[in-house]
Amino acid sequence: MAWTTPPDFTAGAVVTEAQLDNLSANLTSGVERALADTVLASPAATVDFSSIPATFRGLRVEINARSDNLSTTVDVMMRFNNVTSATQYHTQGFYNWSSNIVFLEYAGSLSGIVLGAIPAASASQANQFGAYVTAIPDYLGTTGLKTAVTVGSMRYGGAGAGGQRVYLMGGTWDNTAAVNRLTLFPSAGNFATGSRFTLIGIPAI
Amino acid sequence: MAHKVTLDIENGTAARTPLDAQEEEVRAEHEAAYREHLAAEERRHALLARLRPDADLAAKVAAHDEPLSDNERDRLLRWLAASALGDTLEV
Repeated sequence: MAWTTPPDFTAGAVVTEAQLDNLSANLTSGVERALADTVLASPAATVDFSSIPATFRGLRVEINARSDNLSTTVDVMMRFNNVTSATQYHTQGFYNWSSNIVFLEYAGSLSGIVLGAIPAASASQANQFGAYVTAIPDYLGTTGLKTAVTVGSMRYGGAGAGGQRVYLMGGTWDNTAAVNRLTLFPSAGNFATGSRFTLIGIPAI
Repeated sequence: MAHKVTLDIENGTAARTPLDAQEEEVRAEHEAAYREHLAAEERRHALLARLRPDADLAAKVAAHDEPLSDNERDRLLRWLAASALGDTLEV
């Protein structure tokens, strides 16, 4: 819902129920706010944001995560509305590795878009996490396919060593349905204890 | 046993429950597809490494002052094609 500008209250003015309702609506969906937030107390294969309210203009997902998989890194994936058909998901992007640029493409082969990689159990340091921010504009629109853009970074090298990567990724869900559920999952294994996931609603003007 | 965490925004609840049979199946299928993708990537990188121009050829291309032989031009074109087409290229 859009922001409703409050009146300029004067001394002694009586606040009406309608004005309080506007204030309540502003706080509910007229300002940017966290809709859900969790820090894992134990490993999880998936983290689901369900019953996403249809009252915002856009969504932002923030992730700070690690995996327990026996590898150096795994990818973080995102699925829309619990649709598991791989043909509906396409990802393109790239990351830096040392002085190289590595291009990535996943065209209808995985059941979700790829947001980037996070350190896993074989990363050099046990407390390394990967941070990602994903924007999903116009998640309620039913005309266009849904596109998400992600930036993020992580490091898996030892203390004083390299292994830092920066990701820029774009993914499309080939579906015009309004988004009501987002599922985050690692490409292998589980998200590790201490991983954090936040969903934020972006209001209309 | 793998678990899922569900944050139901409308009801303001958070639940941790085991994956059901169908979710386990989706997870297994995804991991298999992902392993296949990684294997294809490895094949592509191996192909690129095999076709990558050696230092002499790279220096010759960079210098621009000497024509490439047919063999050198062939190697260069195959490497460029492999870079662009990935593991779909058969050589």
